[in-house]
Amino acid sequence: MNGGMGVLTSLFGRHRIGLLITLAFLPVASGILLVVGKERMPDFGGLLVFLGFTIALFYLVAVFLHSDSDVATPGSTYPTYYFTLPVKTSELALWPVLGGIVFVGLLTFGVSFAIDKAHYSFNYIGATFVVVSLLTTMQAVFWYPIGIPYSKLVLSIAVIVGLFLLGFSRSIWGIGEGVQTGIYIAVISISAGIAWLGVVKARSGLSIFNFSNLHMSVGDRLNLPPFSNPNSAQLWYEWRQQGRLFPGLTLAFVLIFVAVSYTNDTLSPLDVLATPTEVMPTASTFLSVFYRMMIVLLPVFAWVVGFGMKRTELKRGDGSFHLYFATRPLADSSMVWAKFRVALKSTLWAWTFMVLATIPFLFTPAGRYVNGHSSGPEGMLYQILPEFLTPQILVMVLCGLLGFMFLSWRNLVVGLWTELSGNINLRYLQPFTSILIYIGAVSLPNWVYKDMTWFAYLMVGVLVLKFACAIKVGLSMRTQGLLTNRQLVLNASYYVICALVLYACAYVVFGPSITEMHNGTNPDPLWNHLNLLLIVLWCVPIVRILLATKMLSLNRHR
Amino acid sequence: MNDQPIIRIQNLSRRFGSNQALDDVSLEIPKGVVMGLMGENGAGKTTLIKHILGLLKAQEGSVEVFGKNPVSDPVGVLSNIGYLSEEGDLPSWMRVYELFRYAAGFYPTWDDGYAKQLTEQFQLDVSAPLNKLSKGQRSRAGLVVAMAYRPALLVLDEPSSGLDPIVRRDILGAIIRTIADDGRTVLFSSHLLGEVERVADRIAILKSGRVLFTGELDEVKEQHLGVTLHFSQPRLTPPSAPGFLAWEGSGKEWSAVYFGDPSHLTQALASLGGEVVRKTHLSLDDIFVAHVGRSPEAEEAA
Repeated sequence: MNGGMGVLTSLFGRHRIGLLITLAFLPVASGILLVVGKERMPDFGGLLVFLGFTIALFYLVAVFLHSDSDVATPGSTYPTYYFTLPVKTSELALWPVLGGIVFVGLLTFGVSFAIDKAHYSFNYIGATFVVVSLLTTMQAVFWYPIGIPYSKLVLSIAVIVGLFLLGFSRSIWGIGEGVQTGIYIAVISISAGIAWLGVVKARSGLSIFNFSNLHMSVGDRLNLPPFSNPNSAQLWYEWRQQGRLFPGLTLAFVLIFVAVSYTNDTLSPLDVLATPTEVMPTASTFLSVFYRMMIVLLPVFAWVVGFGMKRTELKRGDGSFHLYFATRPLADSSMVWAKFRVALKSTLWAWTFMVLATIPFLFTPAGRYVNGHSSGPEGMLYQILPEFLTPQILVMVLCGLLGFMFLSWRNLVVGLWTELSGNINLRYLQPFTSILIYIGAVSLPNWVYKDMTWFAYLMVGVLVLKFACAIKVGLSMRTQGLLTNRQLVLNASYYVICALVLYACAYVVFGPSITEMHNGTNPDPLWNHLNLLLIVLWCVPIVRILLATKMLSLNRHR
Repeated sequence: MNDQPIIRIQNLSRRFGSNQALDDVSLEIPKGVVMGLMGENGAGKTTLIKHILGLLKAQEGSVEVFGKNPVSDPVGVLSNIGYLSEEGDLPSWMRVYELFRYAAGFYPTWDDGYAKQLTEQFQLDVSAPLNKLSKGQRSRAGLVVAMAYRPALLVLDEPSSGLDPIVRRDILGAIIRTIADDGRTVLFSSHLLGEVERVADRIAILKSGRVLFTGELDEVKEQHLGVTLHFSQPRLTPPSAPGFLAWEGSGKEWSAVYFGDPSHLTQALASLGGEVVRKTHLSLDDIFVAHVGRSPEAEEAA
């Protein structure tokens, strides 16, 4: 076995459990998709299958990123251990690149092909090129020692946006398929070259910039007051350690999105502000189409971040806490509480950036959309918009915003219990299990019983199980001294308040359309007020919130 | 000294899979002493320390620190412990001044003046990121954090492992200063026995998860003597007698380490039938090797 092959083998060995789960998940999910087919698959089920595929493929990309440090690091993330091996640098770099291209490329092709054969009309060649380009460009970004903290984060977002635009380049700029393919091949080749050069530089201990001295002088000038208590100190730690990533990611994404949107001069109707039969405002296509997508993407980002893009408190070997973290004189519940609070702060900052991102759009041309025709620019958006912003619309927008903010926070914290457990199997198994449960919940009633009323029964069963588990876990934690009676009551109150507020928001946003649909001729049996309530009760986590403290305690006091 | 021990460990056992890391360990550390924990790699020193810090839960037996269970009351216990590990696990993204500010938040008794004094003494650059410091500098930063709030108990797990002599001297100096502060207790593990001998009041030797013996250092040294015996007839095997360890030699001349009450030595030697040609006081290193590095035969004889 040559050195490069050894690197590739160790990469597979290091991620064997996650890879096995992914390799089991992809054919199973593809099989379900092929058997059920687009016609019988509920929309929500289809969305979840796609989400599962996306997460699995992102995981594979992350594996072949072959990194030993996180996105914040200024240097190369290529594991330094390999630099001590008697292996040529070219082999260190190119084998993971080539292995990734072949492995990830083939799996993407297979999955995309299944999607296409399930009648979803999917461009499987294009999708394969997108994923392989994503892999190689990320390897270039992560392996090249730039020398600026968080520069990898900004560059990653720029790369994702660039690849996104390249994916739509045929419809946006009308370029030919051959040219697009040529660009993909060029991107892959150039990225592989940069990745190789990055490993060469990293092995020599070089980087492009060195900003540590500049940062040092800034830090020196800061005469920060001492922390008033241990909880404040821990909140600062969590914010610095975990909290800035989600808002940082959002800010970078938003900045690039806003900058790119200035290249767009087409107008599209803002149909969320009116029904299609009414007069609607029109605004930049980026605002009316892609901004909505960004809003939906933010909770997905939160889920990815919360799932542990940055988990420096845990040792890579056995998943136990670093001793300095574990020996802080803080109760287990206080450590977890700090994480929840910082997740809330991260969410607020991320959504603040998101809301602020709409301001530049207020100063872009806008018009009206009447009887299926756009009037063309009639003024700036801030001049057109007020006439459409009724109190009812404003309440809906605010409720929607609140709902998405809650989902973002929820997604940041639901994975904590697996993360804090330090159990790598649990960590990888949990998201895939969740996705399979979601897919099952929305597919089984229709598939097995051809009757979506079963969805409600299934959900009631799941909720009974959820509440039973919550009571059991809560009481056992009280017995173990992990929770006081007051904390138990606080947890129950949190659940009730969040569920009520979220249901109120969901009712304001979706209630009118549900009522209207059920007054029509073809009501959807899945989409009714009862199911909305059940979904809300399902969405608000309680067992996993309680388990976070339990798992931290088990891992901290092994 | 106060009657109430700072640390009380009773019949503590811990198993990791098939490996018995600690086996029925009982140990008491009184207030105000410097306790040296010695043992080979894998003897159970770090496992024992992790139990004291509450990072491992006792599978059998009990651990009390300041009269509290460190697992069920981590705040009560860890608030009074200064801890420095050999792993250098300080958060590497912090700068030194950030580390100090963060640590100070947990301890109301944090002494800024003392922290500054130690920082200057250790020549630490407070603006430097921890990941840019050398291993020795990181250990010094960790030592400042462990000591600046004058904890009632200082726990040092292999504090000088892999460090140069100057850093080792700093760490030892810090321990000695801690001792000077009335009523403070130090527990440190090390396999650098000269270091232990310099500063420890009491020692405990661990082997394969068991406490071989524990006691005052002076007392332990008194209980160990090196003896060289001359026999009238050549011997193929060393003599077998209770209290004698680590036999070495051949023919008529054999050496061993006597472990026991010094007043019983004459009687013990008489039973062997040889003539004593030399008696020597042993260093801690010799004592350690006699116990830990002894042959199975000697172990059986003991």
